[in-house]
Amino acid sequence: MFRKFDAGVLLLTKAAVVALLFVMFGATLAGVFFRYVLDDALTWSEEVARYSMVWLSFLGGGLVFREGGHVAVDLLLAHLPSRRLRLAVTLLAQVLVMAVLAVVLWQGVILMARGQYMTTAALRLPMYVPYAALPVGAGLMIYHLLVTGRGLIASDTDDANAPG
Amino acid sequence: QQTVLRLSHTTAETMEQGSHSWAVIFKEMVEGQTGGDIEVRILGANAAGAEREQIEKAQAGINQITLNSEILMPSFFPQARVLGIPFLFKSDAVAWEVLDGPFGQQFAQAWRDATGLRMLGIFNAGFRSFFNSDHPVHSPADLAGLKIRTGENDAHIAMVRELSGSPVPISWSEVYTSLQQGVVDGMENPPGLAYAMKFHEHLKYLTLDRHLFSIHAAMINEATYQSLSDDQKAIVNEAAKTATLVARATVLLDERHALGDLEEAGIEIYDPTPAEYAQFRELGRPAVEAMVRAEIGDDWVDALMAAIAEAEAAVGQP
Amino acid sequence: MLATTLFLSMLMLLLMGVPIAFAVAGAALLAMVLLLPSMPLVLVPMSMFNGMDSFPMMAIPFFVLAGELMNRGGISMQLVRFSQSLVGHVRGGLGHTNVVANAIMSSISGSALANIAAVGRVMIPAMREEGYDRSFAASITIGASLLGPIIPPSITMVIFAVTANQSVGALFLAGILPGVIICTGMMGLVYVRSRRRRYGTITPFSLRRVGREFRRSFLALLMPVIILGGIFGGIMTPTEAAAVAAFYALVVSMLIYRSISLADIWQVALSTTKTTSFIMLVIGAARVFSDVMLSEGVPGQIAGAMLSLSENPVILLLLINLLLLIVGFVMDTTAAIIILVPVLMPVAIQLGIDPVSFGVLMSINLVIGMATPPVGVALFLGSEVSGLRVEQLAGPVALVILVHIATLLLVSFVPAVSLWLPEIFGY
Ligand code: NA
Ligand code: NA
Repeated sequence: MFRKFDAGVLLLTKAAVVALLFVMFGATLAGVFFRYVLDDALTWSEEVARYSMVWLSFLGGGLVFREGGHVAVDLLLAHLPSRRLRLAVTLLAQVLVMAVLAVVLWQGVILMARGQYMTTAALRLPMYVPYAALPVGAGLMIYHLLVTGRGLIASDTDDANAPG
Repeated sequence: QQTVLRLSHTTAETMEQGSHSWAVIFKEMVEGQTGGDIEVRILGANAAGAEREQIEKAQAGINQITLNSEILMPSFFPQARVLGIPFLFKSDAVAWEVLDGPFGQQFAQAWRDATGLRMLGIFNAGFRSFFNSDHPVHSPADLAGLKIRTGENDAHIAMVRELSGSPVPISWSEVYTSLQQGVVDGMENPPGLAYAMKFHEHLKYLTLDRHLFSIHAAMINEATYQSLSDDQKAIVNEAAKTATLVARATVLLDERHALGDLEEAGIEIYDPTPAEYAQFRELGRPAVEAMVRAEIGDDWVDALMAAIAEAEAAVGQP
Repeated sequence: MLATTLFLSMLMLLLMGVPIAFAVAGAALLAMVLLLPSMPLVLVPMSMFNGMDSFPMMAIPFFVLAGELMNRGGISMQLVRFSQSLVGHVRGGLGHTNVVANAIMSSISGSALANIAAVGRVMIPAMREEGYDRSFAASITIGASLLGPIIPPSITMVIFAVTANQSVGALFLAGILPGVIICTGMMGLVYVRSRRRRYGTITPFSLRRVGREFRRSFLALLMPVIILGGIFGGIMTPTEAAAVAAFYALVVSMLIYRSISLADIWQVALSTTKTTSFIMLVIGAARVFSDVMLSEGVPGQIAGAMLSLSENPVILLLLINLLLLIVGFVMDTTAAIIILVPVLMPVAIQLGIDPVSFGVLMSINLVIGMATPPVGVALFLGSEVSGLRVEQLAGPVALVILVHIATLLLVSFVPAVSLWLPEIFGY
């Protein structure tokens, strides 16, 4: 049941970031086309592209967690004497990441609230539309971190049972 | 205990810039008169981020004071669009009469209610005028076929289009290279700024059509202001008043110098005749004015027009 | 106090294994909570957002996309064949091929990792087969891959340009000559080593072969022409040029090479978004860190302290280089640029260094950090591709890196090395 839900979340996120990449790409190309070929300037293309990139970056953050792409230093970890200590430091690191994400989520909602009377310069969208990327992205990253964190602990106990 | 007022602005940190001279005078007066109880920390030259970010940081109390142009103000308070209508003020004197008078006070009050930022003073960055590298422009018809860089601002874009130029929105950081590489033929900026940014190196002609009075405002977070003692408030107000006068004078002098420097650098400067100015105004204003009226209603626009008419009579502007 | 808290807690978090973006943002958050209780925490999301919300930064995902598309289309193999036809006849032919292929690949891709993944995967096994020492093959690959961010286009230079408010085009031009110098130096190194150890067989030179491989590589070789011609020819902004390059790569690989399927495009897009997301989160986090520093005037204090160390500009410049090299040991290039530009730029300007020249200096320094332990993404990937442990690789890589360090000194003390080309183009 959870596995199905998780697969759904992953697929949706992937579809969203790929769509955002192409929106960004298309908007920038449209800007170039209008400016150089039609000799007429688009006012919205830059704004669409920029805010798509922000959304893409926050939504994609969770995918990076899933595949361990956030470069981290494991030098100290690798040299810790006991597995228990390694696990403790890893957990502490996870908690710290969670704390940062929790602040982004919580303060991101406040930022959105601030943005409700503001509009974007070109499209006149309410500013909470681009700002929503932060709490939504942070929430998703927390979710992915919890899922991978579960795996981390599970695999560590598996190691304990392994021979040698 | 010491209060720190972080002050952000958007221009270079030199005394030729109105914003920076405002900041420096304000800092010296406030720090001196409070005996160091208040420290003013200047974050100039966009160190605190771009314009929007600076206003938001002042609103949130991350920084306490920001000096910012009117261009992005409508994103925070739509009625501020009224100040973006082109060809409003014919001279500095008319502008100050309006902005320091009842209209200005009414605007400042409405702005504070909407954003939580108290106006400490209004100055400017000079009048924006057209520069180009191709041919002399004496009337709007001469703008035909010229690619003119504008900000990402639909009022400016509409105005350039109505004046028969081709507007090309380009971000501020890319203006120099776009001029250099011929991506655009011209731009519209105050002469002082154009000279300071060395834009003239790739331009030949300047037409003093003075289409927009580029307003800058100094504003302080209202909660921070209210947290000051009465004495401190008085010191801050007094310092702001002096700083505002200094900034206005700085910009006026700098524009004079810049016009001389531009001429010396080989820029051909043309001052349109009253008839030509009228042509610019008749073409450039109505479309944007209609846009603004459609968006924010007639009240603010009518109030401003009335204030301008009154001010023109008061200062004897023809 | 604030500076110490910020930098020490960042180091501590990094060593604990906290991913870079979160170590940087976490340190800033810690400093705010402990030392700046009156600073509203909304600074965190606000600065993150504003760090990412930039048109010039958008060149980054487009360069990544263009590089990935080209690669998926098998272009790195073809560039290796073309390079071999050019330099395969010199003693140490495959080593030279490796360097030249990396240099050409660098004019298409914006990062070192893209180079190792593309060229290294082909070259390390090929060099092994011809009897080159495995650690030598891997270290040459790692050293040459560092050309990725030095020869334009370059993600590192885009980040520097945006942070320091300089022209992306000027920085791209400024990187070309140092790139050529590094490339030449590395070929010299390969030549000397190969003669001494009698490495490699030599393929005879044939003009006809060069012509044939050139024709086959032609569409790929057009890519730098589009990017650089678009920017320096005054046609487009760097971001637009990057988008057009990616579009070109898409068209070429789909319609002309027909080497890429819709499923491939999905994979390429997904991997582009992941790279983008990773870099952008680091950019956003570093902006939070830098804004906290700035609000308390830390950059000015550090700059003042540095300037008071010595009156001698040569010594100061050497100190800056040393500092950057040390920073590169542990810190990611992106974060280091955003955090250190506000600190070091004022010092550089005081020393009379041109900002563009300083950008090249900073980039080479930090790029070297990608190949040094304990944190060196290029080193890690090189170790993964070669199957050698990082400890086995570090020594041989250090030798190769001497070429980069020599180039760095040249850039530091001979401004023309970086500024000559930008000046010709009128920047
Ligand atoms: Na490159
Ligand atoms: Na390193």
